[in-house]
Amino acid sequence: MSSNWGNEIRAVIRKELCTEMRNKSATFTAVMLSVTTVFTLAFAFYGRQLTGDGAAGMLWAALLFAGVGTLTRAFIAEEEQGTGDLLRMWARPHAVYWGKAIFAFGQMALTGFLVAALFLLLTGVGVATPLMLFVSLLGGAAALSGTVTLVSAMIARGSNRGTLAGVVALPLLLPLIALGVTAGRSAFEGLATSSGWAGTAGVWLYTLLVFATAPYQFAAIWREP
Amino acid sequence: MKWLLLLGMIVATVFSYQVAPAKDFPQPELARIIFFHLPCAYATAGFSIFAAIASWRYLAKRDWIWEFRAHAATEMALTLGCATMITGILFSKVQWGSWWHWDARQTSFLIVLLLLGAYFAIRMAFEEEVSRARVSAAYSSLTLLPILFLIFVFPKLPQVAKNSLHPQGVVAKGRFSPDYWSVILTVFVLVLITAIWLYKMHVRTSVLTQSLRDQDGNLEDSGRSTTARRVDQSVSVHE
Repeated sequence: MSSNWGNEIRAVIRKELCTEMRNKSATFTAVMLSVTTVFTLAFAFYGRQLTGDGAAGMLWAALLFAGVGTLTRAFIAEEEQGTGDLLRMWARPHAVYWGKAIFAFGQMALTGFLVAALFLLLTGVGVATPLMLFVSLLGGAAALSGTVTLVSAMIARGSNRGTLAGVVALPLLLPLIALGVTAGRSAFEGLATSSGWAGTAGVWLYTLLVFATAPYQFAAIWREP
Repeated sequence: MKWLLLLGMIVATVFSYQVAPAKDFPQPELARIIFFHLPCAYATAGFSIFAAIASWRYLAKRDWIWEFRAHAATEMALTLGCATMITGILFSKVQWGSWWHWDARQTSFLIVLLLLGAYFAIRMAFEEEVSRARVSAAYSSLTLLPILFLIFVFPKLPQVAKNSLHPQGVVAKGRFSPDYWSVILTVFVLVLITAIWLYKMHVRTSVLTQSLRDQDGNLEDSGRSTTARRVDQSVSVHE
């Protein structure tokens, strides 16, 4: 067993990376889901002029579905493959959570920026304040990965996990989407920059609160009674 | 108790038709549904917050009473939330012309209901009691921040509030007449007493069900220790 937090977290991330490199299933699924979502949204708006409001809403909806669709597999896969118990013996709950969440953040950041780039390319929407969009998307990716990692651990042993993931994760993430859309709207239109930055700060505050509380909730459900 | 509550509700309903209608609404006479809408909304917020705190306590102490309290409080929050939503939708149709407006408060309250509904979806997905209690408690405690944000912060954000049909700061600025307020407060107290009464009944039922289950477990254990012959025992339960 590793001797300190840092080693345990690094080992969990390395384990996730090795598992992912072995079959690349999660990354491939995330990329495919993102491309399909963005393509569908762009197709739905073909020939129409998108406003900053609509573009921000669509971009964050695409991110939300890509995140919830892929990240909820994190702990479900452990339970299905029977490796959950090994992980319980091998690392402390907080280390497992942080390791999984950091890996999910990397995956989500990659997916998020791919979604955003594709979205801008296919819809032709201009970005007036790119820095605001970048900072809010980065915060959104962090909050999404922290929340969905916890939700994945919650539902891993339940029935109807596929449907349950959406039912549980979406309402929890809707406040984040509201803040993200405020920031995105301002970033696309270049108007009301103060409220846009306030929305961006809100996204990061949400991220901070998720990471301040989620490890404790994870520890409460991860260990066997 | 229940007869007193029923009598109180009848008196409050009759009294609600005696006060002068509020002037700020397109159809002032029909705005009286606020007497029930507003108290239900406040009670929903109170029960939701209490449920999240009780869940937190359960995770910290692993005492079943907190799990029963959290479950009962969430059930009351969802019931009162549905009452708020129904009265709000009726109000919206009469005063603003359509059933649903994507108004900030309407939408944020719908998300609160989805959060509360997901709690029951989680409970239904777990058959084993301890896992069910633990996971639903973790989820419920996680909902505290989104609920506080959706009820108290999001509808008051300047860019959201300026587009909202809901009158802003009516409570804080005291725009209702004292008579109007007295009816709202009376109904609020009655709704709260009824809800607390139902909540306590739910908690008591859960405690009794648990003690019955424990006794069943003890019977099964004692049956296992005497494998040579079957033992039947009668059980009496005192409230």
